[in-house]
Amino acid sequence: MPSALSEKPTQRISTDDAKGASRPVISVLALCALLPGVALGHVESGVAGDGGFVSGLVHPVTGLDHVVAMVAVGLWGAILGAPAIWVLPIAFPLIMTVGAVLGILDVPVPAINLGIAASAIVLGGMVAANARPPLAMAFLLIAFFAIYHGHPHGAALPDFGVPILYAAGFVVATGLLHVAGISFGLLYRWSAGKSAVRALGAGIAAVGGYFLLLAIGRGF
Amino acid sequence: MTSRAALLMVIGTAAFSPAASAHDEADWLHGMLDGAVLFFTALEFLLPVLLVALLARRHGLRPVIIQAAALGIGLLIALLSVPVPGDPDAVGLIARGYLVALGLLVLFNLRLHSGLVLMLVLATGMLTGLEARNAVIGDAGAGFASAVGFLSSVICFYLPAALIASLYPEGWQRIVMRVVASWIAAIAAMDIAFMIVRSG
Repeated sequence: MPSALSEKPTQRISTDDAKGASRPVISVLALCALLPGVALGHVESGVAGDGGFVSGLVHPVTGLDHVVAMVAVGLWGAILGAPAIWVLPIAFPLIMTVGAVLGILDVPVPAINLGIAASAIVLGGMVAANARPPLAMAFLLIAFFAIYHGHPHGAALPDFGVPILYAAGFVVATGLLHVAGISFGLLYRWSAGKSAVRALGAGIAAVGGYFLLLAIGRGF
Repeated sequence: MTSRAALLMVIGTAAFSPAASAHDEADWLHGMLDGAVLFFTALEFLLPVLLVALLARRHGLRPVIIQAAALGIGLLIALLSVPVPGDPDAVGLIARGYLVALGLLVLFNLRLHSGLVLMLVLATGMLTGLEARNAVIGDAGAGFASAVGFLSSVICFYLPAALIASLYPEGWQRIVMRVVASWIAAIAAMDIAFMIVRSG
């Protein structure tokens, strides 16, 4: 018995129909061609990459050393479970902001690159080793490294744009990286996922090791 | 659709933007729309209202409506009052410091008395109004219309946000609210640093 799907009549499009259909397409394309000019008119709004929201959003994801550490925070939180699963992603952006404020105010923090590389090694190592310290200890560790991650972002802020939008983009991007880590870390509930999460932690630690060598090579 | 019709559509659309700009600046409706849109396009106005809405916890519909009225009264008092003498950046700094404090209040999930929440809502309205005053009442012709538009947006945003927040005093929804509050506190703290650096 033929299925209902196979009985559906095939719609044939004649050459004339195709020509007719292409006109609306051309019209839509022509209308779209007008849009970029409209978008350019909003540069002053600070939403575009001019030191506004997008600049802040892009900033934390431009360095692999930052990205892996932030993902590791999410992974570790997922492994530790409640309340760490949400306390750590709250703590990291908040304390990172303190680091960013230090950077904005030009307050020096020693061995920044070393600290960032070490954060990836330690946090990735915690995930790989399935380490389960008390929440307070995990919090302190996260807080310590968050200062190192925030400082360079604050020090390298653009001189123009809309500061509050830049800050919003920066914080949201950091939070979303944690969410990505948490999402992947939820695989830990399954045995195969457990191996994958721990392997990712080991990978993050390895990336941290690479950046540590780079930092030592550059004299921190 | 013929190519002539398509061409007319393109020309018509191209002509649309200048037509919108041709509105008189003093047009009441235009001013009201400007005020309404301003609230949603400026995080410094939107975030405090969002945070103070998140303070609502199982207080019910009536307190939320009273709080919305207090927010509106505070806002109108600040918008329609005489300008505050002194450095306008100081108002921004105070508003941002207040935003950090509000964020921490929501983050730590403190059970505040509804009277205290009412006071905080009133203070939020006044601070937001003081900060928004120049942007809303800038044009004398459409100043009041802008204020009405701004106020409408604030109330339309606050009411559903506070009602949703009051529906979820516990659970993962409250955790999401606390995470959002912590992020807003972080944004405000960074903005304070930006302000300090910019003011030299």
